[in-house]
Amino acid sequence: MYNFIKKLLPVTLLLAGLFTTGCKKLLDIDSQDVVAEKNFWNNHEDTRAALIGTYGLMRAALADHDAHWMYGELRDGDFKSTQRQDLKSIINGDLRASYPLLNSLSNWRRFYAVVNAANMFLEHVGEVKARDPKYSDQNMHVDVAQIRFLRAFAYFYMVRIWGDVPLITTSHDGEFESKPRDSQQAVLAFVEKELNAAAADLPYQYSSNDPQQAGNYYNEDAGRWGGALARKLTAYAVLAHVAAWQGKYADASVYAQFVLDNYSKSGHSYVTTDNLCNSNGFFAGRIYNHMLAFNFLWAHTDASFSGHLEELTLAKPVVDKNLPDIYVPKDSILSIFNLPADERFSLDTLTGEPTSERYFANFSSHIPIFNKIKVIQGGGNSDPSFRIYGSAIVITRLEEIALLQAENLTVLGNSAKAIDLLNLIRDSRKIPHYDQAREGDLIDAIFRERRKELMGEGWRWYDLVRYNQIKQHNAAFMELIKKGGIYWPVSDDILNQNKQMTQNPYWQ
Amino acid sequence: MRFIVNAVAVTLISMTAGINQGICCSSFPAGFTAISATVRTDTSSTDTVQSKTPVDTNHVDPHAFIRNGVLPEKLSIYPFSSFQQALKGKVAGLYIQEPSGEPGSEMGMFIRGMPFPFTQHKDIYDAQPTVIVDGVPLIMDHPFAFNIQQYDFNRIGPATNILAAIDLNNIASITVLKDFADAAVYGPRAANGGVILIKTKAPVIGGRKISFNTYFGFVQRPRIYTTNGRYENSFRQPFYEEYATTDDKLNYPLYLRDSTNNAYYGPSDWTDLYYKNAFVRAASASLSSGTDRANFRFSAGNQQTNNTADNTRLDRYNAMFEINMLPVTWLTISSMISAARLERKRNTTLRDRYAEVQYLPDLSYPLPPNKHYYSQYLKEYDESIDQNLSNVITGYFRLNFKFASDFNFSSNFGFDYNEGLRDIFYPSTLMETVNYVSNYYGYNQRIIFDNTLTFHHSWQQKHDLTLEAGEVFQADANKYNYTYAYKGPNDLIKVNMLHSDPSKTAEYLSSKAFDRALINMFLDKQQHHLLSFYGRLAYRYKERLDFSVLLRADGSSSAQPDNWWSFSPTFSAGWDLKNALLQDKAAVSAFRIHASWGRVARLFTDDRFGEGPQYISDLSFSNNPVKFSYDAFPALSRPYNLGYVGYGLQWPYTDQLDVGLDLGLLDNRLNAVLDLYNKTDHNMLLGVPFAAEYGYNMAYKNGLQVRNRGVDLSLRAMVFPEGHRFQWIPGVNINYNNNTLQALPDGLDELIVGSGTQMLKTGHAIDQYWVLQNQGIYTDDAEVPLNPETHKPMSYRNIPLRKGDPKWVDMNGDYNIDDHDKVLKGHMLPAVSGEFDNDFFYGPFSLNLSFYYALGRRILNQEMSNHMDFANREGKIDMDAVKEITFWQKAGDETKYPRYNPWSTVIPYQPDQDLFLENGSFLKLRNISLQYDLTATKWWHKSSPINKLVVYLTVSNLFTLTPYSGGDPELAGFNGYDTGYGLPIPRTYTLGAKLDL
Repeated sequence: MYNFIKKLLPVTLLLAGLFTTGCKKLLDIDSQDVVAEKNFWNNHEDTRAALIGTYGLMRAALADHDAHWMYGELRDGDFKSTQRQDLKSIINGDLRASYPLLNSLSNWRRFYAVVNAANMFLEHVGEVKARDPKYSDQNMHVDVAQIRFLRAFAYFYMVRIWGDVPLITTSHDGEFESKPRDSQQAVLAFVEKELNAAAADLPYQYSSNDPQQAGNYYNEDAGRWGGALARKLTAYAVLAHVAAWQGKYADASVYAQFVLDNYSKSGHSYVTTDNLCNSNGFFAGRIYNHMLAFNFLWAHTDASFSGHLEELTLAKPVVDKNLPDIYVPKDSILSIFNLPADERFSLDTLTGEPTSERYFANFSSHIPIFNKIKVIQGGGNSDPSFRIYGSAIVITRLEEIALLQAENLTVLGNSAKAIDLLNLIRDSRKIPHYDQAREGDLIDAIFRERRKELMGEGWRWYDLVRYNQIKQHNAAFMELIKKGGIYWPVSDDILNQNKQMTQNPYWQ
Repeated sequence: MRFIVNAVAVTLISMTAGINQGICCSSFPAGFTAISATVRTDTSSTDTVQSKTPVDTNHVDPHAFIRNGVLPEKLSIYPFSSFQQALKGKVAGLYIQEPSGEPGSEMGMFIRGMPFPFTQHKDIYDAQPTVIVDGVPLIMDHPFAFNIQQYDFNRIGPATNILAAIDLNNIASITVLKDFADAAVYGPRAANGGVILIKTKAPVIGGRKISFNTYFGFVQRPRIYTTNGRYENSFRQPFYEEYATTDDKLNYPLYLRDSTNNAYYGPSDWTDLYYKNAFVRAASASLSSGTDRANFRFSAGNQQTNNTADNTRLDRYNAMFEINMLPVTWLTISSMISAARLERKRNTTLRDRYAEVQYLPDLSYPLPPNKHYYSQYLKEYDESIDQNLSNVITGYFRLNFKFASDFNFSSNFGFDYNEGLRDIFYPSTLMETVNYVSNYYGYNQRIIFDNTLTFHHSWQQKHDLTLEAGEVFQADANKYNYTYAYKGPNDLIKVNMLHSDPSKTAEYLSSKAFDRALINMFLDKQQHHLLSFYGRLAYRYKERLDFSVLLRADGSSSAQPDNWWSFSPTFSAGWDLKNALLQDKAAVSAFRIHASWGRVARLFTDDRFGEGPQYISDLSFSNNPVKFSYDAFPALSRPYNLGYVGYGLQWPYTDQLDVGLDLGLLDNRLNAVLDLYNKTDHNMLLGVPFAAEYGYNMAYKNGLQVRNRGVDLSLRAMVFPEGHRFQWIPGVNINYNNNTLQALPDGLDELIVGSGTQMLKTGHAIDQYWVLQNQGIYTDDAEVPLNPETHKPMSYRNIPLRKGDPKWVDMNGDYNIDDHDKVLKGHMLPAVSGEFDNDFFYGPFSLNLSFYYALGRRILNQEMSNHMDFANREGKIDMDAVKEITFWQKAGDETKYPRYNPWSTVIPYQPDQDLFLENGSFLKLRNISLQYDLTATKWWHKSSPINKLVVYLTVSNLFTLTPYSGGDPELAGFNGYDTGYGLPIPRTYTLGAKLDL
């Protein structure tokens, strides 16, 4: 037996050794699907991933349940729902109806994810600067400017939807505290300040030897960035809207004018009607001409089934779907597109048939198809069989800013210049110039043009609000503005978890 | 007493002993048998003499009573398709939830109630008790794959119930260790109420034994009342007449518009193709032989289970080999390897297919109820591929050194590996014109290495002391690769082939046929290490008093580095009243009372909890569960959708107090096992909806505390004295469980979870439904009460209620119906559940009747809610609008419900109201068997080489008594909702035979 113990001893010792000295080693495993805080913010790859992440979160906020259109296009808009009850509720402004969609849209969490990601970036970018010598000052400034832009844009978007929202400018990481609402004036003041700061640091283009962004941005050439990132004019375009939303038209016109004076520096141009409505045209992919857009790149497996207007508007014969979820009724189409030879939509004066299918297809049927945006798959073909879309969520483009500037100038009393801008757009759509005698009030004409030009781009509701603010002739709408009914209710989920939060009074 | 211990104590312990034998936790860690507080080794019965006749260490006494266990021998005649099915009702306190009768699909097991609330499907995975085969804890599928799924009906991959790989013919005993006195030695593996121990059959010693078991039978097609377009039309018409606007009428569903359309309005005979009588069969054989120095057992088997519905099937092939060797007297080498393959033919529901494809085609036209049209659909389906394979390998290699009379050292290496493969191809004809291919390969791998040193000594039969020290290291890995692609060039290319020549770098690993832009690839991996040390002392005084102490430390790699280790103690004590006080009382044959208090730690379920604040690639949004990049660059951000994980997460743990008694009366003819338990799960993690203003969906926080307390009672009587010609052995298992939420994180009193459908309220149970109370209908606008203060009518979420809306109870009297007016009602899990089992023996005949029951549970009849809520389920491309072929099957009675305005924006037929909450109690006659033992007849030649020949007849699922108006009350999902998706648990008839040579 003694022999045996002698035999066994080394084995036992070996085992004991293995397990006592190796404890730490055995238990210290890094997770393979997340990156721990200690392994992040170390080099410029981390800032790039975080920057891209913030853009992606903004895209997710706008694409979630097609939020961009639910907020901007449907309410009181030109589209009607074929069958979906939840969409009918939004269109009728019945925003407390008890549908999951409405509850989800009432929740601002996804916008605050953008804010938090931005705050995290701003708090940690210094660490990368200190640790990675390859991370240049200029690179950092451009990154920071974009991040500040995205944060400000998220706040602007939220203010338009909810009015007063909590203004949170630090991450509070690990010590999250519930915050009450801040007045929208305070939030918008912050937004304006941030956007101005961002505009100062942003280049006109990336990887194009702009003095503010020399060399290849993150070692990628200009083609990789295109219109995907915020540029100087992006910031000014949003600034113009922030000012106009507050009725500060003098400021708005300064910002918008900056865009109109410098657009060629960013590679922008006025888009032709054909290009606008081509499945492989303006809305497809990442193009310089996007003033502010969030893309879904088909070639990189980024196309998706939802998060696109096409999900709601397209149906047979454009895609294999029986009925669209929403459509513009024939009567509305005919009353909106009332000018002849409009390239977007007009009836042939002789035959009475539509002259094109650019904006509307299947016009002969009871339910026409809104055909303007139709980036099916990559947009390169018109294969109707698979309802996956590659269109970018376009927030603004040069035409939109031109029309905004026309609006600004009209309010400021500079009608002549405003008419020029309006006619500039009308020229590109091949419709006759503005004629006050026939068309009446200039501001009406400008908003009518916006309604046509921007149909399906998520502007209709905000235009209605600005229009009524200017005109002040619609008592019901003014009541809505006064009582805060133009804002969405705050989701019960938010109210349940933040005891300092209050419901919008209109929806109480 | 048949308590047979292998002479060299390789802990081959048969479970056939009487009640005073207590429980044996036999093999993991190896030495524990000897010292488990409740084990009393009956040294007088070590009758393992070396005789010529084989010593069958797995001998089964049909009259045996097993404490908290079952006799697989008794169950192996029934056509159970899974381990869980076999255990259903067999052990007091173990509740089996079978959400579908589909063979090989997932099932839930819950020991002593729900440990935490289930808010999503994947929570079930974390609540499953560990199954331990011969000391090897089996590894199951990890739920992390749900993270990339939009719908959580099924996990990606084969989603096969891995425990269905277990062949009951290979098992000597199954024991459910609920008392922490027995279970705490397994540490965190016992956190879900204990562990389930499986002991495989040991080889025979001396001679040889060959066994066969085979049966053949069929499942019977149920009787179904089918409906067609006419029925549906006449169901909807009254709603249209009463409430519809012109718009609603214009949108009347296309498929119901034309009453001359034979597809929908013709004969509804789809059931001929959907429900079929189908076969079940099984065959298994084993061979065992050896001497006391070397012995082995080999077995192989095959089982095929078909369901009557939807051509679903499970095939199992399994083989097992076990050897024991004693090269020298002080060393035993044992080794086992078992392998199984599961092939599953899954259901063809549209829901499951669309969920897999993550794409919904236009849903305007449901499948027609007519056989002619349905067969065309099935024909297209035949062109598809849906292969579901699982391979399971389990084994161990064990060395046992008996190097002194008092010392034993055992070293075990165990492994468990299972892999799942699923290959799918759906042709373009099935989904508009888009075909789909996906391939899944995933594995779960566990390696366990443990060493145990035991000292055991008795002093003059008076003092009996055992000391033990052990160490266990367990390494787990879960991994999957998953690829799916849409729109292949044609339906002939059914595989997404990649260019595989590495020398051609340009095209290497790119797809040969599918468009790169429509291919999605995923791989993910979880790793976990668990390192445990424990020490244990057990002392017994004169077979009368015993007590034990266990101290253990568990280190987990998924805990945060400053909190790797968790320390937990367990104490137990027992007093044998029979030996101490009642030795003279002949009527009392066994009487022991015992008590234990123990703590085990609960593991973190995901390795990301160990990382603290973290970054992940998640840019997902609705209908897009996975988005990694923006502008073709990879993105990282905090896990806003998955939930915040901070520093300072603590180990959750479970405390359990167990007090019980084991009683045997009249020569053990009457046995009772009673356990009172109070099990509290402390400090568990919960995703608390939180910090929306910081972007997070929720944050994971400690502090969830749930108590389950109740009673497990097993009673068994041998009605006639042993040896009587006629014998009747009734047995009953009862579990009563009461569940209470004791605390929520952050000291919250209540919390809404499960995307707004569930309410957690401290002081209430966690498995309750949160519903509005329905009191009828407002038949006129004037009936709606007015708020005397504002003169506004009663509203639902600020929408004024009107004619045709439900009368919901306004609990808080604010004239507005909302979440504050919902109440907690009913329970998803039964308050009382168990089995009533009867064995009758008469000569060579034996008859078994087994009733299964669950009382005090409710079901939310979502299928009915869906049917009534048709207005919101048409014209959408949404999972809610999917109608299966079973849509044309009548379940329940619609006329019993008020006729609300289905177009009302208050959604009158929403499921979360007590209108759809029903009593889901049931009693089933689950199994009947009649066996005839030819070898026990008078005319059987005793000298025949056949030792045993039994023929048997079984009937399963004969009838169900229930007040529930829907289908089978067992078929409810994890949240207690009956969606109508569960396939029936079919009535099955078999004829079989068992033979021993």
